Amino acid sequence: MQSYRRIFWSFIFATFNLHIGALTIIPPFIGWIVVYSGLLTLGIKAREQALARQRITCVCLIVLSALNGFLMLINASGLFRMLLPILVMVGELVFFHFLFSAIVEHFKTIEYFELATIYAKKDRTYLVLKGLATLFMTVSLSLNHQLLGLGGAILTLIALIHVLTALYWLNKGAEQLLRRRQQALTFRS
Amino acid sequence: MDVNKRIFRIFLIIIGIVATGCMIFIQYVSLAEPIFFKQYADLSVNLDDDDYQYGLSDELFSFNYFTNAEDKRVVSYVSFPEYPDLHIQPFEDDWGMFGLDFETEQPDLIGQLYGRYSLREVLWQIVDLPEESLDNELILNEAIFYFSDGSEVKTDIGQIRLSRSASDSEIIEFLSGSSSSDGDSRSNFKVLKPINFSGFEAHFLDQISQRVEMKINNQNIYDLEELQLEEGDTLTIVSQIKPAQTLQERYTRFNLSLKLIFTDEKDQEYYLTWKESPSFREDFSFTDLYKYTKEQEGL
Repeated sequence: MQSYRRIFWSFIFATFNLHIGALTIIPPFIGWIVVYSGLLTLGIKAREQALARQRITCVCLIVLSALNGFLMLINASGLFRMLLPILVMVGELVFFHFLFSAIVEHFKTIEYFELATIYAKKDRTYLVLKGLATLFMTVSLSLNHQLLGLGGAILTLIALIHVLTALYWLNKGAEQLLRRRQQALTFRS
Repeated sequence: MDVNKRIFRIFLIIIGIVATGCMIFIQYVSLAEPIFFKQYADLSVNLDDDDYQYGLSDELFSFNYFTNAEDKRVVSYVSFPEYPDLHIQPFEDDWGMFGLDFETEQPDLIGQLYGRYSLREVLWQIVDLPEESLDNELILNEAIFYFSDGSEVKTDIGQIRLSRSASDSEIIEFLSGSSSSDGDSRSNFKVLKPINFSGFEAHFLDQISQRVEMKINNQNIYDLEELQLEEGDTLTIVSQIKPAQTLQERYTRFNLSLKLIFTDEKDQEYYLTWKESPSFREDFSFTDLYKYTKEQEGL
């Protein structure tokens, strides 16, 4: 459960950046590196393929966010510079879908089907929220459309809160639920 | 999970299609070089004032242009091929158009954004102009704008006429004036001796007559042939901006400069120069700016 806590906090650092002038205190790619370290110690019981793809996506996010930060620092312009934030958003969508899928697979493997169903629903909600947010932001960034940008930002924020709540619940709530189940099983036996 | 996989794939495909479409659209509408709006202005330089180089006697003058939204260049120098001795210092900043009332939506972008385009304003002042250059009127039709990245754009700027400011005859005294944000203005003068209005001279009359309705004492100036004024009468000049019929008209800036001619009973001529710079508060939109670029290509 420590790993979920690490992913929870590092994802917050990867998303919200503190700046002092032009200097970013914790650049997003550092946050993603810590997320990656959290993934390595997650202890999810899932197929190797399911684990590998979330790690690969996380590495992609590290590279993309580092590149995005660098291009921002040198004040670069051009199509690729415009495309990068969209690629980062798509990367986040893919990463959290893979993470939720692996968690669902994990709960199925250890026969906690109720939790598997809950996290499958959470994955679905996230896909819709983040998918729509990415679409809105793609059009907004390309055409400088303010209204779509506002819609995209609100949806991104809701998707972010949704992911953080899901991770927090894995960290705290799932632990309690698993403990209660364990006690119930012991009591029955 | 099959449902989730399906939603995931659908979103990835839609995002891919939309992003590709947006990139193609951006390439299609992007400008090869900035487009400057044409303007017709009659400006006077006050040479009596020693520090004329700090500005024109008219209000601080500006050029307006639009370029791609991500274009981070700014105009750093302007030269005029017709008058190489005329040196102008341009000032371009990210205040947005016409002062401080607009702000850029994205902090790393300059100017006022309209979709893929950014509307900019370049203020300028004369820093060097040999005094003898103004013995005749300077007529500027072309300018070369040098950008901060070293690139340059040579463009038709319409027509800007620079001349010495001349003092008016003291037969008419200015009383009051007002102007509104939509470009309408009203000026009142007091007539100091009996005179007859006998006509007017104006440059760019073709441009002005299409866009501005002007009245002297409630009579249309274009039809007015004679107007008798007695001592103590009030002379009222009213200008009203008419809606533009075409995009070329709409985005062409001009200032009004009329030389009103009066005669007294001895047929002595007197002049009153009346100037007005209508506010350039047109409704800009991305689609109109794009249509304007297409019209410019067609010209």
